[in-house]
Order: sequence, then C-alpha cells, then structure tokens
Amino acid sequence: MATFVVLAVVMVVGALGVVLLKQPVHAALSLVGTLLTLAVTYVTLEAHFLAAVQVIVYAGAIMVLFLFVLMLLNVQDTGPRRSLPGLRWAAYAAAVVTATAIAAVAFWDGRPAPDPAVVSLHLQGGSAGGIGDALFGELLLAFHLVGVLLLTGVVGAVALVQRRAESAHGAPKGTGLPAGRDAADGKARALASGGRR
Amino acid sequence: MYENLLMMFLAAGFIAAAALVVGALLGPKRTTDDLLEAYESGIPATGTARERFPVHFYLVAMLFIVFDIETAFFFPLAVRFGMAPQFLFVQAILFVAILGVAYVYVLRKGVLRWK
Amino acid sequence: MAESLLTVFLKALLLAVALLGAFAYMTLIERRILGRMQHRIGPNRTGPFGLLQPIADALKSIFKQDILPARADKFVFVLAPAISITFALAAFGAIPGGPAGSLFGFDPWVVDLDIGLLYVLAATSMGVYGIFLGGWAANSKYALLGSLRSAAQIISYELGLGLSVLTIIMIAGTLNLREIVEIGVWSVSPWLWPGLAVAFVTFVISGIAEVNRTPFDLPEAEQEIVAGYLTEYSSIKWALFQMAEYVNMFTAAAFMSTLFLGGYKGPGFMNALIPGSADWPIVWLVAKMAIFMFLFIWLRATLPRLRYDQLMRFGWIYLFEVALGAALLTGAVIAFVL
Repeated sequence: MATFVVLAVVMVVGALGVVLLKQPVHAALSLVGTLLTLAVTYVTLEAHFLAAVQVIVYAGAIMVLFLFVLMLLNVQDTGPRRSLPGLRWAAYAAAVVTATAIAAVAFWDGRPAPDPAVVSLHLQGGSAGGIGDALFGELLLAFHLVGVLLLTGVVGAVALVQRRAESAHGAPKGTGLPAGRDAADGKARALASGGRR
Repeated sequence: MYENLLMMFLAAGFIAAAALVVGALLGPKRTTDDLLEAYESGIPATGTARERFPVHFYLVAMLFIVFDIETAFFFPLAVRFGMAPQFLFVQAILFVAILGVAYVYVLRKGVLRWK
Repeated sequence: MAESLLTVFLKALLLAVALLGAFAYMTLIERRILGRMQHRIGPNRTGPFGLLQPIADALKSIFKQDILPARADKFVFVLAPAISITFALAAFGAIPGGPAGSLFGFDPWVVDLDIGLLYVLAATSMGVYGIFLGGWAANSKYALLGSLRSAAQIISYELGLGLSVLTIIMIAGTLNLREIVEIGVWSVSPWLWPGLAVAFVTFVISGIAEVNRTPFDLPEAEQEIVAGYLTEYSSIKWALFQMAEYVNMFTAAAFMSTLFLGGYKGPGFMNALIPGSADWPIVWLVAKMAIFMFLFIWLRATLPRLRYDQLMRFGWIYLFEVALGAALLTGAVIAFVL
C-alpha cells in the first residue's frame, strides 16, 4: 500500500508536469517519467510482462515518436495564443466531470477488493505465458483486429506524410539535414574536419 | 526478485550522480562567452539549432511503433509456441499477412527509399 | 535465493564498478588492437604496455572543465548522460554469470527475472533517450543532427533485435535468461540450426547497430557532423556517454553470448581437461564476451561507415525481412517437422 501511494504520487506529479511545463520537450520527458512509473506499478501488481511491454512500447517507441514530432514542428511560441473563446473553460469543465466520474465509480463500487493471493495465482507471476493463453484463446479475434488497426495506422500516417511531401517538392529530404539550410552552412560542415575523439 | 531491480537502479544511479558531482567539483570554472557558444567548426554560431526537420523521421517512428507492437504481440505467442505449434503458426502467419500488407504498401509508396 | 537487499546492492555496485573498470581497459585494448591492425603501435608510453593510460584518461576527464553551453537546456543537458549510464549499467544486472549460488555461495547475477530477456531489451531501449536528449539539449546543430539520426537508427534496428530473439523464445519457451542458457537452444534439434544461424547473424548485426559501432556509427560520424550528439559535451559528462557506449557494448556482447552461445556454460570438453571447469561462474561468459568485443573492434578497423540511406534501407528492408523469415522458418520447423 505504501509503495502504491508513493508511486501514485510520483505519477500524478508527472502527469501534472505534462500539463504545466512550458517547454514541450520537458512536458514529454515528464510523460516518459509517468509511463515508467506506471510500469513500476505494473511490477508491483505482478504484471511483469505488461511492465516490460509498457516500457518497450510506450516509453521506448511512442514517446520517441512524440519527441520526433515536437522536434519536427519545433513549437517555439509559448506565449498566449488565440484559440476558440471559452475553450479553456470547456477543457476545465471536461476535466472536472471526468475526475468526478472516475472518483464516483471508484468509491461507489460495492464489490470487495480482490484478494492479492488469488490475483497473483491467476497471473502466474505475470509472465508472458498467461498473456499468450488469453490472447490466443478467448481474445483471438481481438488479436487479429489489432493487426487491422495497426495496418490502418500505417496507411493513415503514410497518406498524411506523402501529401505533404509532394507539396514541399524539392526540399532536401531524409539526409538528416533540416530543410532549407543555406549553402554556407553546408560549407561550414564540409570544413569540419577534427572531432573530439 | 523485483526489489533487486530497485537495488540495481540505485547502484547505477549512484554511480551516475557521484560522477556528475565529482566532475562538477573538481573541474576548473573559467568561462568566456566564446567557450559557451555552440561549436560550429570555429566560426561564430549562426542562429539556434531549433529548426524544423524532415517529416521522414516522423514516418520512421510511426512505422517503428506499429512493428514494435507487432513484435510485442509475438513474445507471448513465442513463449507458448511449443504448446500448440501448428495452431499458433497459422495465427502468426495470419497476423504477419495483415501487417505484411502494411509493409508492402509502405515499400510501394517509397517511404523507405531515403533520397 | 534469499539474499538480503544489502548483499544485492553491494553486488550491483560491484558489478557497476567492474563494468566501469572493464570500460577503462577496453578503451586501451581497443586502441592497441586498432593500432596493430593499422600497422602502428598504439598507446604504449604511459606505464608498461600503456597500462596506466586509462587511469591518465580518467583523471584528465575528471579535471577538465565541464562546459555548459550558454544556449543549452541546462537541466536536460545534465540529465542526458545520467540517463545513458544508469540504464546501460542497470541492463547488465539481469545477465546471469553462472548457475545459482556458484559465486562463493552467492548468485552470480543481480536480478533473475522471469522476463529477463525483455528486461534487457527494455532497459537498453531506454538508452536512446540519453543520446536523443543530449543532442537536443545542447542546442547545437551538429549535436541535433547526430541525435536525430541516432534515434532513428536505434529504433529501426530495435525491430531486428526483437524479431531475432523470437527464434530463441520459440525454441526455449521462456523469457528467463537462465532457463534459456540451461536449455541450450542449439541442442534441441539439428532442424532448428538454419533458423538459429540466420537469427544469430541478424541479432549480431542489429546489436552492433544498437550500440552505434562501426559500420553503424553515424551518430558520431566525425567527418560529417563533428562528434554528433557528443559535440557540446566535455569532461565527465562526455566520459559518462563514453562509458555508457562501452557498457552497452558489454551488455550486447553478454546478451549475444547468453542467448546464442550458451552464456555462462563452458564447453563440455573442458570438464575432461579440468573436472568441473565448465561450471565455473563468470569465466566463460567473459571469454565469450571477449570474442564479440574483438569482433566489434575488428569490424571497426575493417568496414567503412554506411551512408544514411543505406543504413535505413538495410535495417528496414533486408534485416527486417530476414529476421522475420528466420522466426517464421523456425516456427514452421517446430510446427510441422518436429
């Protein structure tokens, strides 16, 4: 219980950091911290495989995508920005409603908390085997639907990017150079001969 | 066993923190404006490095997520493979076939052809 | 099994210190071997055979000025090397060094996890943040280019890594590294050898790319982008990144040995020469790691660096397809032949 309280506090602080930090990359880092703490929470719940996948997929892949996007856009302007009037208050209201709903469900759920011993027996140490049994048993259809979902994601991403790539024709792509750098920069790069090693 | 993991991270973190502290205490601290400028091969730095980047990197990360999740799904399958190999092999082929469509689509669109 | 937390912490600390010591001397060994391969001598002035060189290097790193570039994101700039080294050291903790209780009554590992294989993959995949954030925080163009390239490279080759280990998991049926060693994947059936051999090759290639070694050392391609993500780093922070790179190499070598070459188990014929010697802890793992470390150095002396488009094409097209093919081949053999 004490462990959970500590982890929960860390997670909430991390989540608040995502919202409150001004610099987008700091906010993303805060989210990485939150996700890693969530993985630790999974470990304390004996869901070991889930914890590892949480780190590999969320912290290792999805957050890298977030960081890429932040750097692609490079949002500099952190000043006040024009948006729909009342959007901020609508967001606050939505947050309050959601938080109330979650709290209500959590407190009014009359079912007793499951016995940890029984849970850990069912989880069989939380290793990959049990997940495999469920995934390729009753959840088989869902498993294949996930494949279709991922396919949709790929097609969507490619479609989005290809359209933009055509409109920005001629810009240097994929060499790791930012688009539209002037020749002087390239020359300076060519002159760089000595490294630090 | 997972408390041991905490110990491992404590020890590793301790080494990192100790090194940073020792380095900060012992090194000289003579700074000039030139020293603190970004290195651009000796000429004065122009602008910052906060520029926009090719959208290609986004695609690579997106594709990575998709195929990383695919691999993550394969881990439980592989662990249980010996239990029902033929059934699971067919499931794996089906799953790979669906994502194979995505892969072939990406290849055809030339996303992985870096110019 | 019931080791106290203090014992475990001391073991973890010992492991970390041993890895750092090995790093220091690995740099010397690497420079000496590279020297020989390039028909020169290499560092041999500091002490006999240059044996004091790593100590001199370490002292120099500590006493050099720690430069915080004016425009850098200070917090992330300091955090990045710490992330790199912490996850690099921690990843090694799950590698088993011998059978239970074989190290003077202690277990020759820090953690023995039921998902040890995934843990090593996960911990090493966190290393990308050190490089990525380090390059970004420096707010320098060379550093940013290096870190972007590096992040794209590391995630691309992580797929090859993940797909290559599927072959092992299918044969062993477990994610526990010690059980994988005890099963001995090559001894299961000769029919599995082709799949294993292909997976081994793809795994080694992806592993080399993951630790940014030649021919995949684009993140710090010194002829193009100065030193990549390291450009703005100096003194101890630079040394921490170097440490992390070498510790990651050790982890990769140990991971390769554990999964594909029987890990801590010595070759059987050694028991005929010296009875019981095949069960010695640590020794065999280190010997196998040495083979891979030599391979890394040899490749560095031999191969030119890949171009960026070649790197991405190789990772996404050839490596991905071949690794997946090896996994499916192994699956087909288990399902329909055995």
